Amino acid sequence: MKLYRFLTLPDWLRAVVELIWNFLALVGFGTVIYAISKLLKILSIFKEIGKIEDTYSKARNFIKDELSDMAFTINYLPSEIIVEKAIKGEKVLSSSLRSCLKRAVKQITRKRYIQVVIFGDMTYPEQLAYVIKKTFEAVFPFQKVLDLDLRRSLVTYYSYKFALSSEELVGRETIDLLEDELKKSPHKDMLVKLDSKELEEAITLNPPPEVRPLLDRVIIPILRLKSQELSDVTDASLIEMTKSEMYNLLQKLAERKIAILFVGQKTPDEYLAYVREKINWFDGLLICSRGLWVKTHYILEPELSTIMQNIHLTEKLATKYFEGDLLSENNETIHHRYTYMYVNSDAES
Amino acid sequence: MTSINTVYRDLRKTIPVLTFARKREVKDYLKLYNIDLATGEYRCKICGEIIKEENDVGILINDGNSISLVCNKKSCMERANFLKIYETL
Repeated sequence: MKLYRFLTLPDWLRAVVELIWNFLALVGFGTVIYAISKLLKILSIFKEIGKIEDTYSKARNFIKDELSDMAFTINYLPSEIIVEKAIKGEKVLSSSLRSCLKRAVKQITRKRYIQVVIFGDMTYPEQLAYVIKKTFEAVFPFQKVLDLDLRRSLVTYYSYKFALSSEELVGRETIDLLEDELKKSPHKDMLVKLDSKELEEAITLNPPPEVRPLLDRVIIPILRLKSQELSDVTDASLIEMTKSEMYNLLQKLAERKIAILFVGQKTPDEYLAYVREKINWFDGLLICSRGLWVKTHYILEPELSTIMQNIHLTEKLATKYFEGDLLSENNETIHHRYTYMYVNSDAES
Repeated sequence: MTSINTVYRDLRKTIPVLTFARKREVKDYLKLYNIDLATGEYRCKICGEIIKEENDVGILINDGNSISLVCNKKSCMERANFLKIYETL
């Protein structure tokens, strides 16, 4: 309301006051617009920075939910990350206010900060892909059981799989980056096969309690057991031999040359019947059990070895064992046993 | 001996604060943290080589007590993981 209208003013003064009044109104309006645009800019920076932090949290949850046999590894990862500065195009996304607030809140809970500055002219999608890949790298400590290429492929495969499941958060460009990287991987086809339910259905001799790809259900636990076994080993020849053995196992599984038997609550006779029915189609057998069912596994093993030996009368059979305790997400130990019986082609020659 | 639960508890307390910076900003950050590469005191946390040039810095880590560097060799940048960097401090 223009209050000066109620005052008795000469016409010229009224005109001047009105002019000043209108000018001030315009300045006020401009200030409000400027403040709103600044606020929106700050919110947009918060959103973009927060997206990288959310990507890490979501990748952690993905490991917990989808990679159940690796869920315990999230205990080794920081509960969260704070992003202080990121780059998007020519823009620098930085908010010291946000960072200070977050740190102040965490200070109450006595958190310890490690400032990490990563130099590199990464694009925004590359920064997201970097965080995703580092998260999966941290949960696959298979340096002594998988060669570098295969390890990289495994990390890229899971990063891509996660990114696909979180397209809304990470964006199409990040997915494309990871997809491109996966395409270049020499082991892509093998990993895709190992992660398919079709392969699981095709090579599993007994109806499994649940249909879940072998990569997560069998291969990752075997890699973990072998990694644990070799944790203190420094003998390069043993490490390289193990890498080669693990690669052969993965390749034969992907090529459907090895059958799988999941030992569970059925009777040993039922399992023997399943094996006798289909084992002729395969060159090897991988018996898998965990927890209580390891006992049944022990009972079955000699019988299954005899069956395999009878099928491959003229060939030399070899057996490998992967056994040990693995931590669950709740830090409970679960005993695992995997017996791999296969035709040893080296012995034949 | 440190129990596994102690390790978990300590880890939950560790929060990496990430900064993505451009390569041309190395100089500014080195200045900010009072790092003089000319002294030859700074070695790469991964390969152990002395970092002498600004252009060779890939990652800077400050845990509040000390400052560590990782060189920008592809192999070192790949091996350095900010989520497990606490293991090397």
